Amino acid sequence: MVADGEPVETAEQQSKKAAKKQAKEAAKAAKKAEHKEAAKKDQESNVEAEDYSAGKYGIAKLIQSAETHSDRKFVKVSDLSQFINKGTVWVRGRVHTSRSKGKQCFLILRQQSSTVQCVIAVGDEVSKQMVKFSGSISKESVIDVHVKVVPVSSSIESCTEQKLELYVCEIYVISAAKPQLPLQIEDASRPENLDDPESLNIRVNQDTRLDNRVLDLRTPANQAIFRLEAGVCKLFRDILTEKGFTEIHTPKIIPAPSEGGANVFTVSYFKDSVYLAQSPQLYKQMAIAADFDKVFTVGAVFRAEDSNTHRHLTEFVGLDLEMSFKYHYHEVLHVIGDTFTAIFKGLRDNYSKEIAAVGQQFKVDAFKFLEPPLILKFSEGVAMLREAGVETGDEEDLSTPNEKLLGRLVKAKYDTDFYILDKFPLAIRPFYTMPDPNNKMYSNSYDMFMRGEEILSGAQRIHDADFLIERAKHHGVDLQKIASYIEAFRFGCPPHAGGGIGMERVVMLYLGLDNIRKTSMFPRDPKRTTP
Amino acid sequence: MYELKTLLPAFDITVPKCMYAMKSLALKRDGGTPEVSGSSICSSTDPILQSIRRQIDMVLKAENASAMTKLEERQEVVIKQLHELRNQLQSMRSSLNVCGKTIQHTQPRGEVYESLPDIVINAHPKFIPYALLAIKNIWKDVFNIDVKCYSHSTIVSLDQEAIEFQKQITANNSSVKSPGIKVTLIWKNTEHTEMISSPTMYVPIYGEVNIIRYLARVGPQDYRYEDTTYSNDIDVILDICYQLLRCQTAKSMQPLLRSLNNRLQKQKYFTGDQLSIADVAVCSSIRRMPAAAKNLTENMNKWLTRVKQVTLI
Repeated sequence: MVADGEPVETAEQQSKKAAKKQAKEAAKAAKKAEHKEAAKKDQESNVEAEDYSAGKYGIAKLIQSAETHSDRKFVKVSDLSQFINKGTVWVRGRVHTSRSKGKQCFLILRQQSSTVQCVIAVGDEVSKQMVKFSGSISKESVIDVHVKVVPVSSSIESCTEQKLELYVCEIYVISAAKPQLPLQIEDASRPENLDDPESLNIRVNQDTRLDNRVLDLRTPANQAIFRLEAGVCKLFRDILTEKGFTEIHTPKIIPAPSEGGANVFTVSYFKDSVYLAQSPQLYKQMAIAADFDKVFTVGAVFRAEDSNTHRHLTEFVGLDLEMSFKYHYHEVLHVIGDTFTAIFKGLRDNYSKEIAAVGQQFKVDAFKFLEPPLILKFSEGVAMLREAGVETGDEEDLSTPNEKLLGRLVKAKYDTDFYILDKFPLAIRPFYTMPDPNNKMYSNSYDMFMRGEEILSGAQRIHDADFLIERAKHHGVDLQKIASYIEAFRFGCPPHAGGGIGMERVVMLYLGLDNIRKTSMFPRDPKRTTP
Repeated sequence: MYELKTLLPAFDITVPKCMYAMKSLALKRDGGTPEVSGSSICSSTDPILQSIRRQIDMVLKAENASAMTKLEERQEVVIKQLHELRNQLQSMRSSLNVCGKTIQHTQPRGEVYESLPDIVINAHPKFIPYALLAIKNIWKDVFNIDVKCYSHSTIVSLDQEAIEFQKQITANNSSVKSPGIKVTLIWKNTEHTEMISSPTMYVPIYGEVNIIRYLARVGPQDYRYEDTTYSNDIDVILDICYQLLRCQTAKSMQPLLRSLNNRLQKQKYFTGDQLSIADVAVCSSIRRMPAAAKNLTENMNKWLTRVKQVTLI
């Protein structure tokens, strides 16, 4: 190829043919330039002469609450179908994608999980310049559009509002996004089709997602996940309040490690050092001793466990409850079990849209459960494992693989993703667990499982100070360190039991996601404290 | 015994020395007479032989008492050996059994039936397994069916009929304390009523009548029909019930009901005077198909009232 403006020195050596070619090339270039010039002129004249849409598009002034624009009627994208052929409305949303085609510009507007197609086409009210401007708005910018809602004959597959499109009369950029995005929303929300070899395999790394969490959270799946997470909390609160529980708030700064002492964060506290609460256990129990009867608490819990697994966070939201009972801790066990069932039912009935949205991206089976929840004895679980050929001791804790296997066995037999194991061996439970009255080997303690992973661990606690001391001695616990805990039971305390769950873990397992970081908005783990 | 005539005239036989002397089988007790026994029994007039015969009789008479006790001992041994053989056969039978259940033929009724694996039954609330309730009621004094009910998340709510059934099936009305079999009944959006016993050997049993068959095999002795003369009849009736439960229209039930009526005739129950699993199956099938109940013959109606008194469904 010969480029324009080839050095003249070489021309002498060139053959006639080449010279001819060069001349032709030069002519072409000249023509092109001429054309360009003409087009430019033409455009310039247009700007001056024909922009009849001026003032109906552009970058809006920074909103400082100077005007109210109370005449502008805003409509949610999901409600647009009610406004078909009914005058004009305003919509605020983000530019999801845009595509310019000469005199037309197609722009997909996104509002949370809903998307709708906007058309900006040259016409009586829309000028060429307005179309050009619309095409140049960067993705993810926030815009206001004044539109007519029009039905379409063939449904638009790429949008959630498939039966209609918007004819734009006015368009303003409220907040522009950087033209270069660290990740594309489209890539981040692409379905994970591991089986389909023909699907696009562009994926966004977990770390890239977490580093740019603000963008990542805009995907439909993430929108749904965190709305569902809010649902879990709301249901937990509503159901327990209904059952006569009182919500309490417990301190997160504590003077002594509440459980053991190995996995606790130490923070400096003026001239002293204190710890971050690993669980509200002690405070829940003190509330019971203070006659609150039934209490629950929702709050941050900290664990200094240096484990980088799919299910460990260093800070998470704990949903804890504690309740006094009359004679048998199964009164409590059934309340907790029923609470779970009610949460699952609430999610199934009121959050089906969110569950479906998550399912669009992450293909998982719907969560299955039984009502009332299935309760198996620990010994029965061990028997099931043995039947499957696993060798495990009567007093041995379930290892993670065994826990998963048992989950699969229970699923195969009872077809439930949620079940309760009751009567754990005393030897593998904390010192404050009440022993079984009939068999010294077992205790009044229980674990609950979702999709084969433990989510709740609870027990009847010893509410008698002297017996507690005896058990603590047996476990070799330093009595001085738990003096205040024991002291709480010196003034009379009703028998009580309880348990706690991690909200993120429950949401992860309910949806069948593979990583707890997907269900924590800004996850904290041993390697990440930002953003 | 037959008496044989001597073909040859009696004469002394010189027994060759080169061969073993065999003891006479008939004269086992008489160690000292290795003579040919045939000639000694025959009615010979030979004085020598006669004297020998007398001698034998004498010996036999003398040892008669001890021989009798020995015979008795032998008999005891034989009986013992037969018993062992029977046990062996039984263990072979149970080990070859397809369902892996222990055959408990030797257990008398009312005893504790141990080692039965607990079972899970999945049923749609629209297709209530009434047979289970019928069997539970019939067996209440001999075999305890302990049922726990659950609703699967695929079922949003139970209708009144299912709730009523659940109340009855979970009631503890058995006079037998220890449970014969533990049943977990799960209301589930499932096409077939199915039974699962072991998650590791996950081969479900489909259809209500097949669950009846299973229970009939493991339940009380009186209802085990496999070794009875009716086994074929009962199986046919169970199969008719299976088809009956699949009928969509009242018309398609007609031939099935007719053939049931033909089998019942004027009998008290389908297999005569004794209530059997077949009665339970037909009764519960009719209970579930209201259309079938309307088209019964007078004879069948009488039978149904009779059976309902014990099945309570």
